[in-house]
Amino acid sequence: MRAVLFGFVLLLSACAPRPDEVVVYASVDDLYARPLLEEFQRSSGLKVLAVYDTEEAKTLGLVHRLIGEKNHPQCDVFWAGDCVRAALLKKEGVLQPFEPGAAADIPARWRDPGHAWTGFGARARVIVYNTKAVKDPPRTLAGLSDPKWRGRVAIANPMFGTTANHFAALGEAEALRLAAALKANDVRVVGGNSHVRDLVARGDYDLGLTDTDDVWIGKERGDPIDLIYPDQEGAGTLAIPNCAALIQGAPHAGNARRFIEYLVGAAAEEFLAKGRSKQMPVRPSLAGGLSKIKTLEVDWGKLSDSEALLDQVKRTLGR
Amino acid sequence: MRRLIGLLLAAPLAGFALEAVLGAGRFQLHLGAWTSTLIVAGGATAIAVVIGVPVGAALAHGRSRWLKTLTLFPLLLPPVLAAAAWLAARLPVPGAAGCAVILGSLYWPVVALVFDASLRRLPAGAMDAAALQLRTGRLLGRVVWPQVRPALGAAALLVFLLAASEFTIPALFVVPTISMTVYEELSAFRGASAASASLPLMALAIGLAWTLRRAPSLPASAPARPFLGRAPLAAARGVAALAWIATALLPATLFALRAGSFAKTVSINLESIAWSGLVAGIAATLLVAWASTSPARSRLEPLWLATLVLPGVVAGLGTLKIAERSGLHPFLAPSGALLILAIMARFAFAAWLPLRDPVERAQIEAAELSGLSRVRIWRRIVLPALLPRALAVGSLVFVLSLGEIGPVVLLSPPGRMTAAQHLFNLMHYGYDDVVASMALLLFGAAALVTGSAMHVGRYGTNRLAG
Repeated sequence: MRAVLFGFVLLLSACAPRPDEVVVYASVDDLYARPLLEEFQRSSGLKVLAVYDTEEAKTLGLVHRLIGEKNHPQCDVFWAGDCVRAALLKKEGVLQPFEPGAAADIPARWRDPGHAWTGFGARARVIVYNTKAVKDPPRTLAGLSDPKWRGRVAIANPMFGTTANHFAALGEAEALRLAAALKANDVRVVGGNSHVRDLVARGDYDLGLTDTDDVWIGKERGDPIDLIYPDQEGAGTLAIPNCAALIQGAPHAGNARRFIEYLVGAAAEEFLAKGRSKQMPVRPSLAGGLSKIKTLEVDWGKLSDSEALLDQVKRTLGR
Repeated sequence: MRRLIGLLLAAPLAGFALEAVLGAGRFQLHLGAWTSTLIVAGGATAIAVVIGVPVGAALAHGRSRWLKTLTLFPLLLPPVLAAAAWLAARLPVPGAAGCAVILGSLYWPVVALVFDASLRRLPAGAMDAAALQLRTGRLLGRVVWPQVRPALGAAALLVFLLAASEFTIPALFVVPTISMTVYEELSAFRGASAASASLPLMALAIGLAWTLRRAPSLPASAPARPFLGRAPLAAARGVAALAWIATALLPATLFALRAGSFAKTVSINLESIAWSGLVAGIAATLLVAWASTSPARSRLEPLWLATLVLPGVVAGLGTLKIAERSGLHPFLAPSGALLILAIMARFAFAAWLPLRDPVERAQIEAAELSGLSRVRIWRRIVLPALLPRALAVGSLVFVLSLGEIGPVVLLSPPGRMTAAQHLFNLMHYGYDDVVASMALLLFGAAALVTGSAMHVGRYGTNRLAG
């Protein structure tokens, strides 16, 4: 028994931090984060050690981990799939301000005023529809509650992920009104955005609310689906940029800054835009970016404090 | 030292509970969630018993170790893949009852294996005497049933707890069970509320552990003769064959048919596969070493069982919090030691239960009286009795650790990813060749390890005598 324990202790001491590393916690799908990290590794000569979140944990893992590690940080850079998580970590004192020079041409609305995080390459919340079943899809979120779509609309669980962000971004009155209207229209709440897409693709439902990346991946594999950016005549579509943030007390702070400069740069945005998930550049100068659509104005700091509203939305939807 | 390790393995649960206390949370009943949980977990338990009892009977009346390995397969199937299979079959989106069917078809092996083991412990003398006077029906009712009832009840309760704490299936189909409530509260950073939602699960686990404390763990020295007649045995084997085909062979075949680029997938993911094997191997070895040298029963058993039946993320969060508060986090986290500790805490009970009391106390006492040293007693008496079971338990813990996800995100060292975690991430993009290859690989690795251990250890091969 003592020999086994000795071996265990040896294992514990086997790994020590090295100066040519940067530790990245990424709450984005590793399938599209990994190529970018590998590209940075090649160009910088630094070794990127990544930790990815999983859908199984409903992406709550890394934020909990960062808060848990606050006093002894292991991570250098947090690459968040949305700004709400970054804003929450800012409130918890996990992030340290850093204003990357490469982000100078990113509009201020996609950056934290206190420089705690910087947004880049966005997804948007869109209406997905089955092209075989729907010829005239609704152009607004309110249109999903039209009686002609009764029982034909699916959305993801409003307590998690970008669906939670979406309801929170609408504001209390509009979020509760939409939830009540969807409930009255017999909406189906399912586990995740990709599930919404799959149900629409196979014709179980005609319409759904999901993210652009889910739709692009479905289209790539031949699903009969397409998307609408909702509310282009009204408040605009919710765009959810990725965010890069420097961790307070990062063990490799210098490398972390280099990585953030790379991640929020125009080349990385273009790289993400060409990827399977077709992330939309936030820079107005880049083609196919957010500038081509009208986007909803959002206070990301406020969104990180929406648990009470989301509880109300959940109850309104009858869950 | 052994007690210290035992306490260490209860630490993640304590860490989770401590956060609840520090958060000064108020207890909420979550009645709606418990109603759904009762339907899902109760239904899953009923299905598991209906399938598990005939399969257990068929196993007890046979000799095949491979059938026992096959029985383990559904337990190895990641629940989310079972859900994917449901959708692939174009079945409608399931509600609570559908979730019960999926979970029941994953957890029936628990009932089958426990029932098989309890049949092997039937007292031969009592069975032979009863068989002279009673027909099969009465024999089952008057002799067999009272003997197997406690084990069957415990297995059913264990399935209930596992189904109640399973998260991925209810989350995917948005059936608001108590495990979803725990996740929702955790994702809203209401740790105290999450812990309070978990309290009834913990209470049930503690009750189950208390029941199991009294259960005998020694196999009968003189196994009973086969007692099922030709027709009932044929029926049991028929149900077993259907269960094996539907929940083990069919998924494996479907993965194999789809896994066109198997070799390529394995070569690309070699690093995550090797890391998974290393973590699972270390966790299994340490747990077996610890449980093998701790022959007595322990008062900590209820805590280990509670850690097993709570969502895996609880063990991960608890370990993280304890490590942070104790200041050990920077020293332990980079190597993966915290991840191994959390996985060990998760499966401590699974390793402990089959390995406690490996030989009768009287045998040890006789050896002591004859002047044998403690080392010799362990080597000559305890080890031979322990070895087959230790191999089987080691392989079981290895397999369970291989598929564990909950603590991985919270505690993996940077730059490391397990194969199961990678599989889940891939599934975000749907069920494709790579997912099928990875699932097949996990299935194959688990089958190989379990089958080998059962062959080497000759565990559980004492067919009912006759």
